[in-house]
Amino acid sequence: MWRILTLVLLVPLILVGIWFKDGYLLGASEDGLIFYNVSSYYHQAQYAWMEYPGLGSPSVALIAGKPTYFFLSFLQGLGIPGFLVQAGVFYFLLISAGIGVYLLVHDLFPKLSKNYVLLSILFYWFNPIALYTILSRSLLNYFFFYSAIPIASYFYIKGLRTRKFSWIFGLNLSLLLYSYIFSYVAFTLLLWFWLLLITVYFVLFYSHKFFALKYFFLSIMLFLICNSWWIFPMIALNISGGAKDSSQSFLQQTNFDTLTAISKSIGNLNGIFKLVNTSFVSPDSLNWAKLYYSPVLSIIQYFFIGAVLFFIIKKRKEAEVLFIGSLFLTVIFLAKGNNSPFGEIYQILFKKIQILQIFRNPFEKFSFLLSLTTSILIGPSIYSLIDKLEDNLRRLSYLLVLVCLCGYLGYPLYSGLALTNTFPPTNDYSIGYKVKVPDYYKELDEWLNSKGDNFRYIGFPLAPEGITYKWEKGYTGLELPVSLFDSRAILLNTTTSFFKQIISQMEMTLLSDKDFSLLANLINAKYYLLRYDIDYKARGMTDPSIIEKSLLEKEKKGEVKKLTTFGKVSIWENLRWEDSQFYPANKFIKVNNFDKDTTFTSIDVLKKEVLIDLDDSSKLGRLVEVKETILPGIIYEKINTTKYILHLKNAGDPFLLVFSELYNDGWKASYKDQELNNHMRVNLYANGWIVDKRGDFDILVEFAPQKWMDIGEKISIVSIFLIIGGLYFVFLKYKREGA
Amino acid sequence: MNYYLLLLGIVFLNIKLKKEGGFYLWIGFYLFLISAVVNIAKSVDLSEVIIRIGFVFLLIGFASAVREYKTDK
Repeated sequence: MWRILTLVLLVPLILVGIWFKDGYLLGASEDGLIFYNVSSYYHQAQYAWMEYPGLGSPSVALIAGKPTYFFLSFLQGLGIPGFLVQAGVFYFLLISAGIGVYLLVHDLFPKLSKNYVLLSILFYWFNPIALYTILSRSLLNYFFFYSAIPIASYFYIKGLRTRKFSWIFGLNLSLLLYSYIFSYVAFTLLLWFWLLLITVYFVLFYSHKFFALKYFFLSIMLFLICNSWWIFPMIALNISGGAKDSSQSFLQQTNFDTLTAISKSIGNLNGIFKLVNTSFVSPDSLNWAKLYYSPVLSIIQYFFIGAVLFFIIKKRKEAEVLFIGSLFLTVIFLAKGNNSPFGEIYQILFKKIQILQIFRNPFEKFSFLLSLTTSILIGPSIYSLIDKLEDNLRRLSYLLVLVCLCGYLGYPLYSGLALTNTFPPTNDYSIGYKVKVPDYYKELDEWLNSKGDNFRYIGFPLAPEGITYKWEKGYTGLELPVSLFDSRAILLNTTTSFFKQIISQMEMTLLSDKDFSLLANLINAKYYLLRYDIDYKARGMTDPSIIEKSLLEKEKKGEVKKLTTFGKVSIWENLRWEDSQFYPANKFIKVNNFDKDTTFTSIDVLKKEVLIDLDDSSKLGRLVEVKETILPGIIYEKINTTKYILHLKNAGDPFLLVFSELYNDGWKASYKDQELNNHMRVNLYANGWIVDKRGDFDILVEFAPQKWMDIGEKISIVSIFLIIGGLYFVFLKYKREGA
Repeated sequence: MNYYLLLLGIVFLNIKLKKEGGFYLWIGFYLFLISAVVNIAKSVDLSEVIIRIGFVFLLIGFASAVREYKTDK
């Protein structure tokens, strides 16, 4: 056992040493550069509302990762460089994956020699799914899920087999350690679907139906209690209607088209049986990926699965083989999506149960489970194949399998090729996913933070969601407002509702003769960043020199002023900016269709103008345009991203209070615990309330789901202590029984 | 190819043949091997058809094996 443990600790250390030996961060794709500045992510995940992508949005997806971000930002706060923190995380995830597989195989096949258990562990690390779905995709929550699923499965199965409820404590404590995975709803569903599947097959082969049902029910109950810090605000957001727009954009016919297209593309059984994502290993792939098409290497891939099928057939009278074999075949069936044979079953469920539309890429999601079930079976399969051979031949065969696993399957990992892709600069094998953020971004961020936090700033040229930077090692992936900056940056145009209508007009207006400060003031933008370190040609973005030309012309007109430069980024000030985070409005410009209107580019918030949708004009009631002098003065305190206290002075007639943050039904304004009604969307993206009070008074503006997050956090903390207490009690009981 | 008809065909055939689950599992396995050879020989579409038929046999064979296990138990 010590030999296995040594290898489980050593092999990931070697891999991580190879990947991080040059001292660079690794980053690409949708994750950005989390490890460049983890505290910035912690800041976004602290509350139920975050500043990303610039106008604010609910952070329910991120808050599940709050404990992880807290711990990692604590490590960075101790002075540990980002790349070392990242290396440490990768190391932990690899060894815990290995330990999880070891525990599972050892529990299901206790008589299996450790040499063959090692094959299962190596296969789990080196199989093509781990290569593509985990490493090459470069998504941290994928890596966490890949690492969590063996350990979680072990605790769950152990509890079922021993019929001891105490294993539920271990399961939930382990899930807390990997809570980062729940920042992606699909993994929450996938995990519980998996545990339900285990329960069903367990009942089929081992009976104990009532115990199994109680066990599943209690597991999920404890899970909901322990994770209430992110579950409560998610429910609250959905009840308040704040998730309506994002969920509607998600649940559409396009999901079915996506399912069909993806099933056709990567849901073929040949690819699934070889554990290969055929879109990654295609004629357009990187040269090294095309190795997977070579005949010799195809034989090796088919050999492993052939061995597994052979083992299942030979040992089909054994409960453990039937149990894992059922899971294996079920996962293959699901991974092919709505492809034949019998793909209609998947299709019907997909259409009838809307939440299942999260699984519109079935191979990507179910491949985690395929990788696990195959790995569990590899060790005993190889043993079953070669055990009857005479000694020398058996040793030679074992060695050959080891060479195939480590030499062939493992090659892309320990050579670092797994951390490359087709997009420049990641297609340069010497660079891959290595990133070095220039030092001037730190200085720039510090400078912006020194100016306060009552404004936004816009980065030009504005990126579509993806960006390519021309840094020392380059970077290609999702734009990096959270990684690079602690404050409220608008650097990209995303598909977030209400956001895209405004931001898509930014550059066009800046390059026109129109007064850009009107549009900038609409979103409370005080500074503009002009970035010359972007590969604008690669991304089809505007040439920064064209934007600079426009800024210089506006500087002559007195609209902007160039302040300073940090490296390849210059800062320009909007000279007509005034803090319009909150402002009272008395001039109502009504438009017919908010989403088709473009007159907002000439709204002047400094003149207390506000854009109102015609459908909401009835909410204005007796509100009429009043003289500016009767409008109250507003001083506000920002308690955190979800709470503001407004101090209003000399309010006269009723007015419209504008809050320049992304509109969401979860935002509530109240006066002395009485909620202000007539919450409406104004200025295309912002929040507005009618205020009908006189004199001096305070208004509280808060994001309602935050209350539920606060309650949920308290419940989660108490439950963690109860779990630890419960485990200690079980430990004492075990010790007493042993004695 | 209509896999539902194939499934029904195998089920009805089994009523006559009364074979164990292992019989169908082995057919499925051999079809998997054939599909592998055809795939390596670069006939990808044909290989996919063969492996899908093989998968149907594997599913039927496995379901029978489960039934036999429950009966023996």
